[in-house]
Amino acid sequence: MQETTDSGPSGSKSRPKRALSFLRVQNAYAFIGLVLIVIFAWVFFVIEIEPQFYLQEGERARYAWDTFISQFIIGLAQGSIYALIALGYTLVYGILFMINFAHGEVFMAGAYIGFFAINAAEQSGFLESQTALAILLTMGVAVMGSVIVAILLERIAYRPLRGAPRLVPLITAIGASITLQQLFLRLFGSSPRTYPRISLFVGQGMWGCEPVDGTTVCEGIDLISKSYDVLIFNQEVRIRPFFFVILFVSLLLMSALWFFIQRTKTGKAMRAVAEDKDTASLMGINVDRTIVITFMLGAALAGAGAVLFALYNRQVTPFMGFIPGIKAFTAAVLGGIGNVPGAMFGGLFLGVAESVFPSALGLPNQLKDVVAFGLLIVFMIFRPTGIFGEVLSEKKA
Amino acid sequence: MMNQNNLRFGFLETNTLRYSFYAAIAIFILTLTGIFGTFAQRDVIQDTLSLDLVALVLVIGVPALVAGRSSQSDKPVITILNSAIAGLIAATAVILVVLLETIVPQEELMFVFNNYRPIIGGVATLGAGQDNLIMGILGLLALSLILGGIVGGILSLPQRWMLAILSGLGSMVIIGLMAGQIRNLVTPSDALGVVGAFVAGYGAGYATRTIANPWLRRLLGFIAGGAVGIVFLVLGNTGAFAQNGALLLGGDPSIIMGGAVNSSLTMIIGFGIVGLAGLIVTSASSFVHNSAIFLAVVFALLGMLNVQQRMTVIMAIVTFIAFAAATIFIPPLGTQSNKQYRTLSPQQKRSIDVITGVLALVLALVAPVFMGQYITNVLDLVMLYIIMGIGLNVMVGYAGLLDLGYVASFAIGAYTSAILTTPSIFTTGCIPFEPIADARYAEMCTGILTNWQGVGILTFWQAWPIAIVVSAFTGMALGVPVLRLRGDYLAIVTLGFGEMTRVLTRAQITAPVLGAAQGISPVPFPVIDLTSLNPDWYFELSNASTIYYLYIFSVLAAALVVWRLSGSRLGRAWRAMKADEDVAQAMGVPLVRTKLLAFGVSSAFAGLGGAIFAAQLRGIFPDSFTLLVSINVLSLIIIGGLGSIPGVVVGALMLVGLPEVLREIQDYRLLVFGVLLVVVMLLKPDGLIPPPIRQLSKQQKVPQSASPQPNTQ
Repeated sequence: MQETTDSGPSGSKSRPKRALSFLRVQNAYAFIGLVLIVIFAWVFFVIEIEPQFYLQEGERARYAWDTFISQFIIGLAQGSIYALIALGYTLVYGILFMINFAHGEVFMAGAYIGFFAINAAEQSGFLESQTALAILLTMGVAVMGSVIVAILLERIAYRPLRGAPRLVPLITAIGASITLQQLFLRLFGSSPRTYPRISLFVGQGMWGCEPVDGTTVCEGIDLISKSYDVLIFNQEVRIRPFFFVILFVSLLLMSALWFFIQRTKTGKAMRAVAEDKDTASLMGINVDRTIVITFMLGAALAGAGAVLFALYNRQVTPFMGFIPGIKAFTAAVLGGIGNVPGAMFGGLFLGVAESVFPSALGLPNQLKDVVAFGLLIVFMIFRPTGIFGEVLSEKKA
Repeated sequence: MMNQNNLRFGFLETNTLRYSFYAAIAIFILTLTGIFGTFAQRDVIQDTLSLDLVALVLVIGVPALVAGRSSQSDKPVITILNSAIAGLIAATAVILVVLLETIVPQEELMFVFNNYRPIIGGVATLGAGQDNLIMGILGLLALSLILGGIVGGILSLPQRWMLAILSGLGSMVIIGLMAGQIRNLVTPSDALGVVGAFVAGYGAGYATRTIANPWLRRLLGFIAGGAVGIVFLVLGNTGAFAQNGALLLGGDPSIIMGGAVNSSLTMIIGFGIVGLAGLIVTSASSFVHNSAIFLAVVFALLGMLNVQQRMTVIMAIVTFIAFAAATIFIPPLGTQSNKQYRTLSPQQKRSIDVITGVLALVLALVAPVFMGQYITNVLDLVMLYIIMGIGLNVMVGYAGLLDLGYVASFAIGAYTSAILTTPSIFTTGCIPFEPIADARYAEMCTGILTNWQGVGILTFWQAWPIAIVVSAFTGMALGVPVLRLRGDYLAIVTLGFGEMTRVLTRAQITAPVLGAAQGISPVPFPVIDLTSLNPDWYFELSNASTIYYLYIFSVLAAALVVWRLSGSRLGRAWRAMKADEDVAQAMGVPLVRTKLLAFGVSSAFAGLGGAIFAAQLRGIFPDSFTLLVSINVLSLIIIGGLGSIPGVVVGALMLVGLPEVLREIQDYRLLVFGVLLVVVMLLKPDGLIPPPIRQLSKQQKVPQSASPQPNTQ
């Protein structure tokens, strides 16, 4: 793809240079490497070198490795949720070249439906007796809810407008987003719904030992709600094991998606439709069905992400999908929209950056959104197609 | 309507089943949101028709309407049957909820559906309670069948009659909903007088058709209107009107009229102008003619509403008849006037257009005298969005650059003007807690403005241009990093600008200048001080109906600038760039400059609007600058039709004006907004008023007649 445009008659070499083009970095991996080096150099400077200039003897630095590590881990967890949502944006964009603005609401719908599932489980005592199974079931129900919303969305708001000017589906997407928000607000009320506080202990007899009445009882590690002090790289850091659960589950889901797209027949059909709809339909691929499947896949990931998010954050409101939706879209663009690994990487990167940067730069945490979007703008200057974006996407977009 | 795969089984068409099934799902959800409970307290017609009954009729009627419309049959019986079935299916959705309520315990139902209120015993079961529920359900089914059948019957009527009934019913409900806000707009005497003068002028127009000289006719129309004025003046002086109107005697003097309306001569001239308008429309284009008459009808109804004060049964009947009659009789008259208009010479056409334009302007200028604060406020908001829509249209409609962060420019304009016109660390160097005389600022404080020729703070008129320029330049500055981006990349980066604005205006870090959550207040209102010309000419634009003039001036200026720009070299460069950047560049369009100018021009309009907005609210608060502003502006220009200025007006009225006016259904306002966005785009993807393809058709005509046909060779 890259080569054909470069060597083509209207290739970029023959084009006059545009503004700021000397700043561009051509190779994606070189770019990632460059960014990581800059970031770690800065963090190293802030933690190790800068304090020597102002720190008095015996005083603690305002920013140290333990803060960095815990923020990094929180960022990874947050970022994997962004990545899960971002995949939905990027999948749809890859096929339809449209921003599915209502994707944040698909995420929200998953969280709500998951809430009612887990609430029912709690009422019936199922959650108490079979915690892991109940959470899995909740996730399944949430995924189903998100998928149904996404199918309806595609059927009502997008399919009739295929082939319309590009801005038109954008407006229906915005309309659908507002409609879904307001509908959930009217249906389920404006007061936030709260997920129950869940404890899921693993490794009984091995970890989490405490002396109780003279004997040592090992209740295990609470994977979901509790935080523990752990030594990482010789630094004592307080973390929630749930962060790792989020990261692990997300990576699992993303690999499943990657496998699905690369190895199954439907995945192949999706790639074909993304490449060229007309040719794909000539090859006997049902384009409509493939598009619906794409929406369903994106929604399923968003639904699973929503339950993870809600278990961590616990509060569910009709407007909860909005900010993560925008962030996830930013992540998708950072990674190069339409590109699946790009969305994964972009999500993780944005989550970490948002969590680490404000304090590393000495800014109040309030400004983390500014940092996120500032980062996006800086990235767009250096690499206007996103990290893994095709050179061609400028043309398609 | 879409007719794909519309098969028929007996009399039943598949479209009927499809649409009513979709409708049933929607109604089921809508019922669970507690729509009947929320609306039960509201009356549309006093003591006769409550809003929940209207809602019930709508949820049955709309599916029936859609099904009937989609029916392909010429036979009325089949249409009626299909509509009735659609109504029946729609009603089953309500009945399902009723059954759900009997099965599921109430507290569980209301735990999940927070806003749900029990509907048994309400309008949904026709008042039947738990004990005779079966009767209620059967009654609802029967009602839905009958109602659906009636809708089908209405659909089978000739088109014009059908429209008449629907518009009559619709306007009845809308006026009933808004009765509280509009009941004091027009006094009955004003309504009577103005409509009388209009009718007199209109009649004069028909009576004088044989007279060739247009100016003589216009004079006659003016005299006819003036005569009505004299009659009302005499009647008014005898005390025939208990309530004084704004135009007749008394009323509140506005700043522009300066109380001059009270003089008899002005009043007669005013009525004469109305008469002239009545005459002009008899030979104007059908659009002008029809809208003028509809306006007169609304005016008359408002006068009657003022007497009744509430939507009484009589008022409702009169509203229905008036609108139905107007829908039936006006279009043929409009066709006639259009025929007249067509026969005129270009010169005469032009003079009629100019006069209509001037009359419309006069109407717009006089409007705040009638409209209460509330409606004027809504109109101010609409005009603010028109200004911003015109600005964003430059970027999106002409240059094809998708901007989702337009609120940033708006905020920059508003904040610039607010900062410059209030004492702050930035301007005066200190914030006095008590007002200190201007002269003392210079001694005590050293801010930027105090150092500059000892000026303390600026007035609105000084700050306004600065705000516009600052907005334009920041717009360009924001444009630089995103020059290379197109399409969705640009969208997300501009969205980022918008979100950054939102965060930065709230952040503590910027609080010394921007005031964080408290914003900046009080911002002084604009003052027009012309006392050097005339000691009476001192106007404070301090409330909605006075700042209205500032808005209307800005709207006209913005529309004029953009209209002139769109045909200019720059406008054509924008359009070329939108079509294809590479080709445009090859044709010699300097891309960087053209893009930056689009950013700059577009932002300048947002800044213009923002500065007025700050002055109107007498302060600015970060809550006013959310993504919803960007979304609203973008939606209204796309709904109106990208690149069309009338489209912006219609879009703003629909997306900003309508939700504000429908405050009675507060809880469902934004839901309606969202659904409206989807539905309008589905039905009219090009927008309501797409721009005319002027240049293209002109050029096409010439080669078509000049060049030889390719087939003949």
